Amino acid sequence: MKKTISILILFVAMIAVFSACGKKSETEKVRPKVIGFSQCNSAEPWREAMNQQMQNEAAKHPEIKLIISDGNQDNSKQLADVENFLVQEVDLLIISPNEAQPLTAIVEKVHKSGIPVVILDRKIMSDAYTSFIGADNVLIGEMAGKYAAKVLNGKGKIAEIWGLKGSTPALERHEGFVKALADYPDIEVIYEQDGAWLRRRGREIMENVLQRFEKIDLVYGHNDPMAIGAYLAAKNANREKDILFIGIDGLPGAEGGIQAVENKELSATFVYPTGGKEAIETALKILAGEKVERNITLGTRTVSLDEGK
Amino acid sequence: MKKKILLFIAQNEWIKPAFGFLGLFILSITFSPISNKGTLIFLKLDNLTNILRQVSEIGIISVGMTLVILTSGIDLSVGSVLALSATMTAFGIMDWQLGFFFTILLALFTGVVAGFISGAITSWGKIQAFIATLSMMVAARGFALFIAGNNSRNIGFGNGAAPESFRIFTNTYLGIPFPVYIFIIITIIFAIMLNKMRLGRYFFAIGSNEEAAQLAGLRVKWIRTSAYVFSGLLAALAGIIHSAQLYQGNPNDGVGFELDAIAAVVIGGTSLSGGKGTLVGTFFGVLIIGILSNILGLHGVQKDFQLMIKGAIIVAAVLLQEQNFFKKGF
Amino acid sequence: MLEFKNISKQFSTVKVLHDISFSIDKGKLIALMGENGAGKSTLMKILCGVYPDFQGEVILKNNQVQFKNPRDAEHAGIAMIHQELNLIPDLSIAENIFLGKEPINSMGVIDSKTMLSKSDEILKEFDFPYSSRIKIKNIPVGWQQMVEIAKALQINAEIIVMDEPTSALSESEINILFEKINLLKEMGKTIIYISHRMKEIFTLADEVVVLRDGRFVGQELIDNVTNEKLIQMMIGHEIQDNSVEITKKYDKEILHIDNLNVIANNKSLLSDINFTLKKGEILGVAGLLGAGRTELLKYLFGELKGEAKGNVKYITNDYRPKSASDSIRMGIMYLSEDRKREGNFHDLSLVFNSSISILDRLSKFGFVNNQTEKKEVIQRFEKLNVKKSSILQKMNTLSGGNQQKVLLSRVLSTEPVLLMLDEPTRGIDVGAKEEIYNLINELSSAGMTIIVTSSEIPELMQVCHRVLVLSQGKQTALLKVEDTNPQEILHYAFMQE
Repeated sequence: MKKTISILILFVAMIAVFSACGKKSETEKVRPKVIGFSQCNSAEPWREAMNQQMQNEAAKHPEIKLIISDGNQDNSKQLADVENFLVQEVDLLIISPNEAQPLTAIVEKVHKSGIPVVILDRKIMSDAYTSFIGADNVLIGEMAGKYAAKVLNGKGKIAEIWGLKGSTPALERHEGFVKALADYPDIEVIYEQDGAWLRRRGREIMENVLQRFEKIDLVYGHNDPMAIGAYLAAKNANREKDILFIGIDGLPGAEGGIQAVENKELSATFVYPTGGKEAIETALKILAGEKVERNITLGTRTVSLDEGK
Repeated sequence: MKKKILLFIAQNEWIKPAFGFLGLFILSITFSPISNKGTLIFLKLDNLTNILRQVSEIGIISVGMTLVILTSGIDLSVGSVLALSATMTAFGIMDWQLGFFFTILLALFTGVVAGFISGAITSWGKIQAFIATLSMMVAARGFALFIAGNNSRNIGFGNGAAPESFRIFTNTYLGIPFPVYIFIIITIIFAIMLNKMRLGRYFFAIGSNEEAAQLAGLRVKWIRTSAYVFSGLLAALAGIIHSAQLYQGNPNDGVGFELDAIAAVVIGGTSLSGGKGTLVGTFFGVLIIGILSNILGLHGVQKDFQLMIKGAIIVAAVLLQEQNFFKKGF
Repeated sequence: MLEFKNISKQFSTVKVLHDISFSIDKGKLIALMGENGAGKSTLMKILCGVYPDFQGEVILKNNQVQFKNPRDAEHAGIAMIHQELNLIPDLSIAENIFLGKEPINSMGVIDSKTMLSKSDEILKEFDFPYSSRIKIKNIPVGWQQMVEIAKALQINAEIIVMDEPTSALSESEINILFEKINLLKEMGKTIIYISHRMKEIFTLADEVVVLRDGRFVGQELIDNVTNEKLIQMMIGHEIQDNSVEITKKYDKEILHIDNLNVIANNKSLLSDINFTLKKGEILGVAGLLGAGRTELLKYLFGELKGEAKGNVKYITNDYRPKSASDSIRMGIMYLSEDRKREGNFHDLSLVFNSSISILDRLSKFGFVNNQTEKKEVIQRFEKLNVKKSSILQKMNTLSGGNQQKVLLSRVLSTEPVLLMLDEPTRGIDVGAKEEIYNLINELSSAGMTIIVTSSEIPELMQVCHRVLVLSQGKQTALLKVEDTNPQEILHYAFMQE
């Protein structure tokens, strides 16, 4: 019996401790508006950066409270997260869906119940939303292509390391890149391989490329980690001086692409904006009753040592 | 009087998980976040039905898992079988145009086959259940990916797509989502089977003492295999519901479901060494896991803490079950 | 030295010990006797700290003691040697002796040198024929028993409790054990000895204490009691002469075995088995441990995997045993010698344990008819005189003898034509033994054919019509009980190629 009681006490204590974290503002007279953000997978650095931006932006506005849930890259989990927001009566939902189809129904339900919905980065299969914020991957790919053409002076050999094949961003980043190079017949993409967004894969692929080709002028990675992986492989083979590396994402932080440019590992990265800041700004507008654009396309910028940051 | 109560508790293994559930429920009310209108969010009808709907898949799987664990086995393949069944459902209804009835039949049949193979390997191949079902876990996932060509298959409605009847799995009746009814009905059916039917007794017998069961004339191999068949069948049923909930058959879903189900069964007081346990206990075990996820989610507790708390709860639950373990440990 | 004062003990609602008081002098061997369920084990578990909750006082050397756990009791110099040995087969003798009390050297590591030398020292007193480096599983059961005693000596126990130490031992091993027990007495140790075997009591004990139904019945010097008196004290009334009248009504042939040989893994398990059994006949199977008694029974039951040659005819047809379930359907049933491993469903109810083999008959559309089940089970329990508080209580709450009766109710529920009982009286007290032998006779008169094994030859001669003797799997004799004697049976049991 003693054990039962002690376990129960432990139990109570645990719940109390962890629930205490979420209960601070309970007593305030004026309740802030609550924005629920359903992130599909906080474990990705790019998405973690998105969360960070949103929190930074939200901190500037005491009239709102931001709650972030993590879907763990699991549709069922994200569905439950949104359901929780619904019962919590959030005033606005921001969602970056893991996959379109499985989350469409619940987003429709939220929208129908009168809660404004801001969709971030990935679309759903319905128009039941207030505003969509996303970057244009084709555009970014095109910028990368133009940069490549410029630094190669219209002539050279390129290896392209793909993001997960079949995924929309990878297809679009490829499409834009190819489009930009169409005007330069002397630039040749001599090798393409699926790197699955992974730094490790980028390195492996580059090792093969170095074996096979005597001369490579530029490596285009669909994201920074793969481009950095490729750089590391080249450095190992003492060939990093002859090759230029470019990537996409341009995240800040020690592991991010911007730092890699500063370290002269990458010659350029193209910022794929997370939209975190814009999402909060849009949300504030909606809550204030202002009209917002239905589709907001985020701009990008080039980060390289010559072009500044 | 006190003795009678203690005796009652000792004889009814589901009481402890029931108390655990009750305690957690009360705690959750106490620590429920409060909405703008001042109501307890946890107690809102929507929230309670959400919890039930969210646990219904794991719940159905846990019923099958209870049967297997009662025979002192384990079934690690349920998560993969769920994914396989969900994939089969999506392809059956969208690409192969089998119609509502035959699609469901096909998905369930897939689960039965998977369960039968696991059971047969364990029984006749004399390979440990852990290994046999681990292989099935890997193989079923592979087969699902093969069927789906590595992609998920979305389910749409209308001409040349899913029939309207398929919406039954996503609809709500009397304010309660359909999967919840299935979960409860399945629990009741199998609880009756365990308590009133011959086969139920046989599961207990095998789990309690396999040698004795064999010598008492039980067809141990067939009986054990049937437990895995039920487990596969129920995982497949959960897979159909899963696909309907998400409008998608995704061969990569259901990862880690087996661990949630095992946790629910263990919290529900079923002994991993077999021969001891109840489905009512499992039912409460499932609810405990569901409520825990819910209340932690409502508070926005992050994944790291959620996992640590869950781990602690499982250990605490098992300690409660084995309370007299320390006394007669000698 | 040791005194029990008004000891009572309750398990939930069942009171198992009532006001037990007696005392024991130093250096004496006290035989603690009583039927199964009389409370001997419970009392000893109280003494050894296994059950810390009880009423009354235990007084050790004029101090009242109450042990919280077996460790406490060991510190106070009380050691218990259990019926089922608590040794770890894969550890060496020395490691077992020092299990949990390993000497540790200055490096914090187990000091195996000290351990080995101390073990050898202890074992030398016993003329132990094995080095203490040998693993437990490689020495005979009889010597394993000695290791348990060595464990007790290692902790300097002054009181040693032995629970049925001879139940798994052969005759020669028992003799060695007795020598060692006498040695312990010479060392001044006090011994509490639990046994059902009268002969042992009279050779070893100084005094006997008898319990019955959880109550103290009496304490006597061994010289003041006789066999009959002891039995009377234990069961509360005088037993009838048990050499039951044998009904010889052999007519129909039930089993006919012609030159049966069974080989498994290139090892001959059974050879040259030849016998015929008629309806209502009781055949005893005698032999030393490992002679193939269990193998013969299990083969006939379909649960011995191996390659068989020879003919077996059951009633009128050729019979190839396949599996227990098939055999049961044909009217052949087997009761294992190993209740714990092959009989009991420990955590499940008595009803469950009793009816598991006949659920087919009790079920309709797969549903068990609880009413009929309960009625049938209660009927059988009454007939077999199972002592229980409820048919829903768990199997492991019963004493060994009552568990055996529940298992008997299971085998009888299948209404077998041929019943095979493997050591049905092992570890069971005199009263229950009598009941089981009476039952065997009764069943035989009602026309059941029975094969029974026992390591106690006099018992076989008392209950059987004929005795089959096995040695190393080979049939060495088939004797009519009235034409033979224990010496002859033993002679055949020891016979070698």
